[in-house]
Amino acid sequence: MSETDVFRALADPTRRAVFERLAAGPRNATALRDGLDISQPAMSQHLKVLREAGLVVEAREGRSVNYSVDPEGLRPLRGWLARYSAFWPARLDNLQDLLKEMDQ
Amino acid sequence: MTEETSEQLSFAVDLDAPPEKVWRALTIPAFRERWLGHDAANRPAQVIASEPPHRLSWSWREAGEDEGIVTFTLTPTESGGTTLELVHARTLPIAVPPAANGNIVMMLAA
Repeated sequence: MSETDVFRALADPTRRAVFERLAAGPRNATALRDGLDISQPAMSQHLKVLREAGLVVEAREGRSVNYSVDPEGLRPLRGWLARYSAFWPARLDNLQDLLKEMDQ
Repeated sequence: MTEETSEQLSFAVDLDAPPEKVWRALTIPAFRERWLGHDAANRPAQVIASEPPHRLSWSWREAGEDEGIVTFTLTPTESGGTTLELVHARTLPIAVPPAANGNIVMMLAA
């Protein structure tokens, strides 16, 4: 799953609220909607986006489906950190070299 | 109630040049391309804040994707140089539930 998928999935306030509820503990879709002004089809759609971003997993128990946070889901964000941890020090070295070459 | 949570990288470097000169290296495209590199020259997408020669913020894009905000802070040193601080932040707004309901506030610290 890409870091962009993760950021996109969590950019929506309702999906963030759903994700935060699940971070507090697994729930089924009905319990997730409790207190939120959101239709059942809309909740299904949000859960689909969260699942596809790798943030949420579902587990079937008989007729009921429980959703929970995938603890690995936020891992892609570390890729961004790793890339720019290497990128910026090298560029700042270049900047130092350039300043020596510039007039005034 | 919403608070902003972000992933953030910070760097600081002491440069042997006054802030005005560092500012030019940051803002004049021909100079910028020389230290940022040709491949990265188009990643600063938009100037978000500009207070010459103290503070500069760019929105940063890579391969068409939003990659956060890059902010430079320039502070003159006593010896006539510049302390340059660079913060690259990628913001993720996280709704903070009211404290009373006992929900967990998720932090995205690495």
